[in-house]
Amino acid sequence: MWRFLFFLMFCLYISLALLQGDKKTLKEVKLENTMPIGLHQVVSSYARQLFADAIYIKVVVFLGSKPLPKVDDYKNNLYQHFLVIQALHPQLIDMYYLSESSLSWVSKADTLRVNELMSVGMAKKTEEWLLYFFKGFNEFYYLQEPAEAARTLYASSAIESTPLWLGSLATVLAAKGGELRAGLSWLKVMWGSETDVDQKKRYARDIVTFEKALLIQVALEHFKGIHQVWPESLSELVPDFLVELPVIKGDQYDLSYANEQLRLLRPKRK
Amino acid sequence: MKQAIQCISAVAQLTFLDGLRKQTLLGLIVLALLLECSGIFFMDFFGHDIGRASSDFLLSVIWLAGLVFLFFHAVQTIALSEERKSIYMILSRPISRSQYVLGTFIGLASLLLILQASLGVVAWFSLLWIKTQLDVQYFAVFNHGYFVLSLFGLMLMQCCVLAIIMLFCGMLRGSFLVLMMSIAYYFICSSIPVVLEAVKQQISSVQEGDNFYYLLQGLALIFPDFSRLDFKDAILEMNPSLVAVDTVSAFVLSALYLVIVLTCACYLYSRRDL
Repeated sequence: MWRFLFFLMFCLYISLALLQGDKKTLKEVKLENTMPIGLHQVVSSYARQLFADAIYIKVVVFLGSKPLPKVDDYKNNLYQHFLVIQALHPQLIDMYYLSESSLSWVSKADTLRVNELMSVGMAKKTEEWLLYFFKGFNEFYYLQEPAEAARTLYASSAIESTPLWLGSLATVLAAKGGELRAGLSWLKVMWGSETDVDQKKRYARDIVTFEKALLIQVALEHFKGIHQVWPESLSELVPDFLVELPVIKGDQYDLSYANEQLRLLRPKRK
Repeated sequence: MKQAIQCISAVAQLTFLDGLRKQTLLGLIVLALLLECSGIFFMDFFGHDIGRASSDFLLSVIWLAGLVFLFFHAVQTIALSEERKSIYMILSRPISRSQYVLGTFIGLASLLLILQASLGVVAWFSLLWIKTQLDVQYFAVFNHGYFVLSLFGLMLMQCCVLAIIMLFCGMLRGSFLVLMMSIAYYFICSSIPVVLEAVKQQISSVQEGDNFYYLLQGLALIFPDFSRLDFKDAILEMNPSLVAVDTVSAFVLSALYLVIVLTCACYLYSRRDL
């Protein structure tokens, strides 16, 4: 009798457990508030990195769940989680990847928040060029600040493992943002330290282009100094400020003068 | 002196063998291995820093095993020996109370060392194996020297906690009370650096906060910041930003703290009624 009752209870337990499993998937997923950073630091003690890893896994599971709530409903909690992870374990590179992919695109305010995370990470992980790339990308693509992006990307050139193209990208963005002097000085530094002959030739060609553009820039500043206004077009610089306008048009850059700013833009592909 | 060393080593051997007899180490090693095996299932969540997550997990398991040993086995061994009056049997021999304290400490520290060393070896082989299974981008660097340094730091930290447990056993009666006080002490040690940091950020704007800051700094002498002995982050860094002077001073300070606490524990034991 007792054995029969035990067997019945066991079967009931298994069947209820299986039913409960199905119900759980219908529940709406939610990213709960996290404890304050200080409390995490106190409770975690020596295992703070493990706590950070656990919170990271929690965020990954949430972002991988379906259906995901609207991003505006969870973005603030998500950012708080990233702050906690960074406070406990700033060396965890996966957190930066995740914050870049999940938060930077939402709005300009969120992009700025992600950039703050990246800035702290850049200070802690001095050999990680990827954080500079993420920050620079955010500044260029989401915040529309190519000059700022150029500065960030160029700062990564101090890191030994930084790929060459990052420095080149910095000069392209500097040119796009109108930071011709900065772009020229970076090009000269890269030309001086480059050992590859072909790459050196490419830098030399770009230096010539930037120097031509800088001539025009100086003439523009001279014009502004005398007339107190920027010229409407570059042709007004000739002949008082420039003998002739240098020709800058080719595969690499096109000269552009608009909204009182001189830029070198990449030509649009046909 | 020779006789004192003999007495201390006799008590240490007794404590050590008692710990082995209770199969404490075996239980903790099995627990740690089970935890380490379960951790493998979670490594898939990490896209890039798999090496770092693995090393964090393995060393945290060693830390946890050490804490369980301290708060359960060590507290029981010391406090229960008084409750069960087995301490009288030892002290009826020509062994002073200070020798009893030092011998018990060395015995328990030896058990802790064997626990740390065995789990450390397992962790080291695990990390080496994980490194061979992954591409270099996921596990680029494994600094063996810093791994050993982390284990030393962890061992010293736990020896300090063990010394504090001995001190509390000398001050208080009852294993439960000693356990609670030891846990509270550990949490205070973790909290003070956090509060200090928070106060430091406010101190430039609030003049009255200066006294509180100095009070906290004074408390930090009694409740040391054990995070200075945490070198986990350096294990996987290409060029760890550890300053030799800071590292050596952290070890020396902790060692001095240990000696001072043990001396106080010996003094308390020699003065109190058992």
